[in-house]
Amino acid sequence: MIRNPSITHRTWFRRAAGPFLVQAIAAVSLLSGLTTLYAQDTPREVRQKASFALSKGAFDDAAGYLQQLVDWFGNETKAETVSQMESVYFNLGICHFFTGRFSEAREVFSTYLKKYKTGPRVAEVSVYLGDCYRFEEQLGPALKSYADTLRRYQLVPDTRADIYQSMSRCYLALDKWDKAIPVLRQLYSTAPDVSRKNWAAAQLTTAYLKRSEVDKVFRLIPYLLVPGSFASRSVALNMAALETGDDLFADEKYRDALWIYRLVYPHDVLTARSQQHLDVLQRRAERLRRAGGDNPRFLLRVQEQIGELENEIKALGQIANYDIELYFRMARAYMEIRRFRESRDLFLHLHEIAGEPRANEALFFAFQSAVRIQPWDQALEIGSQYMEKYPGGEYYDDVSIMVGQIYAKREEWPSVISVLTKALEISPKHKQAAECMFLIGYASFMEEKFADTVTWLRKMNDAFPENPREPDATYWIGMALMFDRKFDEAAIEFDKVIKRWPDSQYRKDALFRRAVCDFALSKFESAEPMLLDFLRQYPEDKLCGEAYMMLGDISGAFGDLVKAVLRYKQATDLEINIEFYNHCAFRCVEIMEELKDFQGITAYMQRYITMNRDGSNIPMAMYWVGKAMWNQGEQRGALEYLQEGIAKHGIDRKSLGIDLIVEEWIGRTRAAAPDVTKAAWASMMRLLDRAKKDKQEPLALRLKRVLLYYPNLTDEQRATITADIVREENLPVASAGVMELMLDTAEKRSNTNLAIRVAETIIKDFTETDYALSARMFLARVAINQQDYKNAIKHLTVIREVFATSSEAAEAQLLLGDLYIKQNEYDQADECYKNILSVREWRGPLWPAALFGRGECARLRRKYEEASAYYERIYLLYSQYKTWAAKAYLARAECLARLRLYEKAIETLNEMTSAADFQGSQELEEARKRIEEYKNRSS
Amino acid sequence: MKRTSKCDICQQREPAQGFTGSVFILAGLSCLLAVHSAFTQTPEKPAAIPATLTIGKDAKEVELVGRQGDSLFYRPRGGVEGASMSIKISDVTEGEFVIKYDNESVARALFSERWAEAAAALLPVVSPLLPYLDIPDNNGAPLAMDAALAMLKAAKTMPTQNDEARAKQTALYRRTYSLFTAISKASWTPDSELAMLRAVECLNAVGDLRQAEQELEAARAPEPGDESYGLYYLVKANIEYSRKQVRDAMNSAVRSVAFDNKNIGTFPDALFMTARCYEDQLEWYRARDVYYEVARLFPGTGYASTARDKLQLLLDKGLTKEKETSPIESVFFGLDEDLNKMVRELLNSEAKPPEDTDNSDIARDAEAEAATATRKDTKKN
Repeated sequence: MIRNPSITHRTWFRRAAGPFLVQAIAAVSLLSGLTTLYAQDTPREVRQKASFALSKGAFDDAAGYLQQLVDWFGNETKAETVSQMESVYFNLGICHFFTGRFSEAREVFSTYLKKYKTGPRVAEVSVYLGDCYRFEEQLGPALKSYADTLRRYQLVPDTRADIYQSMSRCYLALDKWDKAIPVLRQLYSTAPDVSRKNWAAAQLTTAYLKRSEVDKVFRLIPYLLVPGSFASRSVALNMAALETGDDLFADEKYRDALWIYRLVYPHDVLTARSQQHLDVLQRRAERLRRAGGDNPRFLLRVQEQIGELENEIKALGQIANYDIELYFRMARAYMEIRRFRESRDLFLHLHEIAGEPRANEALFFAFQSAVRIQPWDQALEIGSQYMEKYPGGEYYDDVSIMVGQIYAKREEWPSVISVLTKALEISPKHKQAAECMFLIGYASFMEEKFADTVTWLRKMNDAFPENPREPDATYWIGMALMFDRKFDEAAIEFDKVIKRWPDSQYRKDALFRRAVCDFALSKFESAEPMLLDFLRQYPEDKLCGEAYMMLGDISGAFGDLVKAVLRYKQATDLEINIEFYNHCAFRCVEIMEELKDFQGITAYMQRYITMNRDGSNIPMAMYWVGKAMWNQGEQRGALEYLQEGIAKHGIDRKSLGIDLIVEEWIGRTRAAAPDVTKAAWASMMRLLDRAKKDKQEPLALRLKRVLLYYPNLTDEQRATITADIVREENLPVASAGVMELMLDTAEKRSNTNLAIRVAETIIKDFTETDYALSARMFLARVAINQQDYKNAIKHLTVIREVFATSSEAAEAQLLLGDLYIKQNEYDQADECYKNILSVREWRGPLWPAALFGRGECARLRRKYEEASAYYERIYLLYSQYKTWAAKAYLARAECLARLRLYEKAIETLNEMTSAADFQGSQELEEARKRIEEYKNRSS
Repeated sequence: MKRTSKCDICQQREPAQGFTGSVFILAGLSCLLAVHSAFTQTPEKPAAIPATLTIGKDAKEVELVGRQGDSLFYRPRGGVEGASMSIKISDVTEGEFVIKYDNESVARALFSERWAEAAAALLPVVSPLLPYLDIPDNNGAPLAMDAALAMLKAAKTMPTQNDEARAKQTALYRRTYSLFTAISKASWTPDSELAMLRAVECLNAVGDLRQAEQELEAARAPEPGDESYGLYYLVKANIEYSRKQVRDAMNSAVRSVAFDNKNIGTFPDALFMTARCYEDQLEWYRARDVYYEVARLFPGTGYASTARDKLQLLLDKGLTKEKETSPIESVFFGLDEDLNKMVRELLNSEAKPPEDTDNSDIARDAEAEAATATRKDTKKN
């Protein structure tokens, strides 16, 4: 709790409402210094001296002169003298008053009131009379005197406000808050100046806080928030607010608590500002004293303020500093009412100013607040600050997991991995270890680090068996294995999800993925019922389209073409991603073509064109429609339709399907009836003219390429057209097909520079197409020729990774292997060769080449036995590839010789020379030479 | 106390009591706009300013007759015109101008938020003092600050229904800027820093954002607890908001709210700025919370009235109708309150004045209490 046990507001008010003026006035009395002998002076001189002393604020001196005048003329009855003595009595009273001689002052003021019942300052004197009682701590008579004054005299607001303030002080000293409140209200509404209004507001607030009437407090707030005001320095008000705030906070009335806490000034600020204000007041009092007495009540007010303030400062010194607790409560309250920006800033400040363990806690709460504010940048900043400053600290686990979760929400997977991996290192017994591991595993999956996914998630399942994340983890292990093409292992995981957690949210997906695994393993017999079961159980699911697609593929593989078409059509009728959609649509028409259902193709593709989904390949569909029309005997119509496709889409140089239409059109014109062909070419020429005229350059270029297939074209004409196409300035408008022509031509003409530029443009503009693959292969070869291995490796690596299943990828791996050998990087080279041997589809000439490469890697590392085994496998398993077999015999023999196994080496070479396959080859000659050599060595 | 019957600036007669507020404000504004102020034009022959200068321990009653650089020119009070002495300002420890004005009517005008009237009353008093405000510990700077703040508020509350009105408002902001700039030279007082920031506020109000940013950049960035903290970040927020950098404006305004709520001159404005930013970011619940706070904490003021209108609008549009959801469950939600209901209750209640006047008979109560207290005192004695 913040509240200070040593000072409650009750004791404070008793102390604070006391007579401050006595001390203040004592200071004033010390100011006198004009004492002179006045008995010998004439009355006029005494009057003058009194007047001078008064003007200098030397009340003690003035009192002497004035008393002398009273002694001389006090009993005079002459009206003129009595009248002249009015000011003498008044000023004498004032002088006694301001020098702290209250009983003398009271006596003089009482005399004044008797003598001058209608005097000009009778009301003012009456107020001073009350003040005298008050400063003598005779509060009863003081109150009575003030009440009399209020009843008897017509008072200006200024004086009335003074009386109310004085009465309030009496009540506060008597601890009569109920009585004080109405007076304070009157003061509040009467006072013509900010200072007294604020004083009233502050005292009223204190009273309302004591009575827990917070609504009434809120209504006064505008008057409390005045810089330099009494409210800003009142210790009593601050203490009362702290207590009330605590009570409200404990009652979970956070909003009210906050508003009350916010009335409290920090101890440090309060102390500094009170001292500053005291200096100001002391200077002001000095000025007023120096200026002399137009209105001594101004001075009185300032002196009272000084007295009050000195007591406030004294009291404040006895109160322990509550700033940290105050800030903490305010920040927590802001947090509770969801004003997270305010709580964040306050907690950050607390972190700066508080010692430990508060600083730690504050930074944690600042983070908790920042987490609720979008964007999360600052939350991450504060979270990182916490983790750096308090590794393994009290809230480290909470902060680290939340930072990880934020990164996960932002899909910043590398950060998820690094933050949480470090968190588990720093806090091995992390209280959210399972969640950390799960997130690391999941993030690794997103980063396609499938092996890491499996490692982390298995680790989690092993360390925390039966934890709530186990089904999720098992599913993602399955997914990682599946994406890593380890379908057998993935299937086990998906089976686990399906059987162990039938109510899991992943069951449905696992069921589907389980079928995918068998499908990928070409286990179509088992995949088909699984997919059908999935469709039966989840007929409305989003994955149904994909399931139908696979069923279509399966039917196709089984040769059930009608069923395949039906299933593909079902797939394209459902929600399915565009790649699968296109796959189904075009596989479907391919099969329909086999079924010779050309009418069906036309209708299906027309529908495809009408649907025109984002990413649809419309030129390809037009190609199929044209082809189907042709097969239905509509030669002219088909050619016109294909040409329409070219005209419509040929302007888009990046459209790839259009090249297919062009090829189809060219092919069909060759097979069409002569009149149809002639008309088609005439129409195509007109299209070319129009394209040129309309400056449709991509289309025009495409059509110029078509011209190369014009019947009976002469070599000269062909050369002219080719020259017109193969120009560097055409690159920006050339389609992929045109650029392929440019690349071939430039390569044939050994115009390597142009070929390079064309290849680079293809890679840039058609990055992931087969065109790019060829271009990269070209660039790799050029780089190898130029011994720019780094660049060659770059291109080959892209081919290997992006076009992983293509035959070019295998070729790239082979070239990469060779390059790595040249650079003495045998491990990497061996990896490339191994990759080739792991893909069944690449069986053929590439496998002996890869085996030879592995043998070379072993040989160059002086592992001759291992190397000889690889070479042996080549001529045993792939003898049909004679060149490789011959090279393998020679290489094996060399390895055996290195091992000094000359007999075996000779035996190997003899086997080679006796085989009919190598007759007449260079390798055979080499083998014979080596036999002689090894014989010599062995002897 | 001297009571002015005519406006000192333009010699227009004060409107009789009972004039409507708007007429009164307009009259005051016309005074402010017509003013040929000392801080924008140098008078041909500046009036001598009676003052007391404390130099060391001596207090000299003088008439200030001019200044050049850091030198003050003065002559003894009532001395011969034309003859003057000079002193470096750094040698003066304190200055006190003889200032006479009707402080009661100024206070009344300020309390009634008749800003133009208050400014019009103060401006002729403070204008001649402006060249001397850097004299240490003088009594002119606080008064000049009061005048400038009243002018600023007058400018803020001016009607802006057409181009002409807007031009007048801009002119008033410009003059207020000049006044604040003059006060900012009084480096001996914390008001100097505040005045500098208020000047920036004026620049922002007239859309001179570049200059505003430059001047804010030149100002010291305060620390929490400093007197200028709230104003600095409020002004910063205003500029950022003008630049449509709502997120930055929100952060600055929040700093003002979080670390300096003890100033009626900035706190409600900072709250409003946060509410506005919440609205811009479509955070309706938080906007509602802040408007509710303003309406509860500043009853009877223009702030509360605006806040109530905003709350009504939010309720009418149903923007906070749905129960608020929280994205992360594991944070503290001990708060169990239906703020929509509280807002409805607030709007259905009357806008109460800050404090009711009590009708009890204070004199009678005091007499009764006096009797008791006197008996106790007698007993004690």
